[in-house]
Amino acid sequence: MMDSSARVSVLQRVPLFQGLPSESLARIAGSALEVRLNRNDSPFRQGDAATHGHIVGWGRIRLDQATPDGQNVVLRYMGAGDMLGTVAVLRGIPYPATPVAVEDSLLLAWSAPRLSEHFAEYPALAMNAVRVVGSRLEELQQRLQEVATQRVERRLAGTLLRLVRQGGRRGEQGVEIPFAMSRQDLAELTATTLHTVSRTLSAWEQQGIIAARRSSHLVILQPHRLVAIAEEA
Amino acid sequence: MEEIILGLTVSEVLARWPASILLFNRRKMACPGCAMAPFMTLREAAREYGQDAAGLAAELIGEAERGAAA
Repeated sequence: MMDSSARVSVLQRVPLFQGLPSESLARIAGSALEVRLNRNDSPFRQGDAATHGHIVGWGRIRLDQATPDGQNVVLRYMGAGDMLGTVAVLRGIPYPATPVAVEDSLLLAWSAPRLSEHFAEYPALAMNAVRVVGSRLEELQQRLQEVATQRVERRLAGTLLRLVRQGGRRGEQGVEIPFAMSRQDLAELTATTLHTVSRTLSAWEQQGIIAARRSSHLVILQPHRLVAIAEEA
Repeated sequence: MEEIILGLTVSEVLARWPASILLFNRRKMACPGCAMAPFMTLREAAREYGQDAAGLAAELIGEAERGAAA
C-alpha cells in the first residue's frame, strides 16, 4: 500500500510530472492503481499491447529485452520514480521490454484513457513528455556512437596486428612496422575514414601505445596493450 | 638457465617446447597464436600478465625435463 503523501513524494521526483503543483500531483496520484510485485513477477511482457503507464513506487525492477535472434539483454535497472511502459502507452505501441521485479516492488499504474485525461488537464505533462523522450534519444545516440567508435578502434588495432604479422620487426622502442603506411592506407585497409584513423592514432600516441612521428614508420610501444584493444570482447 | 629462457621470444619458446601451450593456458596467458609472440620475450610476456618471471621459467624448465624423461 502507498498512501497519498507517499505517492506524491514519488511523483515529485519523476521528470514527467515536473513543475506541477502538489494539488495536481495529489489528484494524479489518487487516480493511480497499485500493482504489487513479488520477486521475479512481471507486470507485462515485451510485445503485449500497452494498456497502462507505470511509475515505480518502491522496489527494484530489471528491464529485459529479447533481441531478434533470441538473446536476452538487460536494458537497465529501475527504482522509485522511474517510468515503466509509459512511453509505449503514449505512443500506442506494444511494450518494448519485459520488466522483472528483482525484489518485492510496488508500481503505480494509470490506464491509457486515464493518462489521456491527465494530459488534457495538465499541458505541462505534454511538454515534460517531449523532454523525457528527447533525453532518452540523446542517451541512445551517445551509446550508439560509443559502440561504433569501439568497433572501429578494434578494427584498426586488428589492421596493425595484421601488418605486424606480415612484416613486423623488433626494434629498441618496440615492434616496428617498417614499411611506408600513410593514414590513408590504414583507413582503406580498415574500411574507415582518414579522419577516424587520425583521431584514433593520435589518441593511442597520447596514451603511449604507439609512436608515429615518422609517417612511414609506425612503432608499437605497448604491443600487449594493442592486442588487448584488438581482442576486446 | 632461467635467464636464457626468459630472454627467448615467446615464439621461440613455443617452437622449442610445443607443450608449453598448456603452461600458457594454465596461467591464462593468451600468447599461443598472438601476433606479438615473435617479438616479445618470455620475460616481457610475464610482466604484461603480472606473472612472476622466475617462477614461470622454473615451471617451464621443470615441465621440459619431465617431458624429456617420459
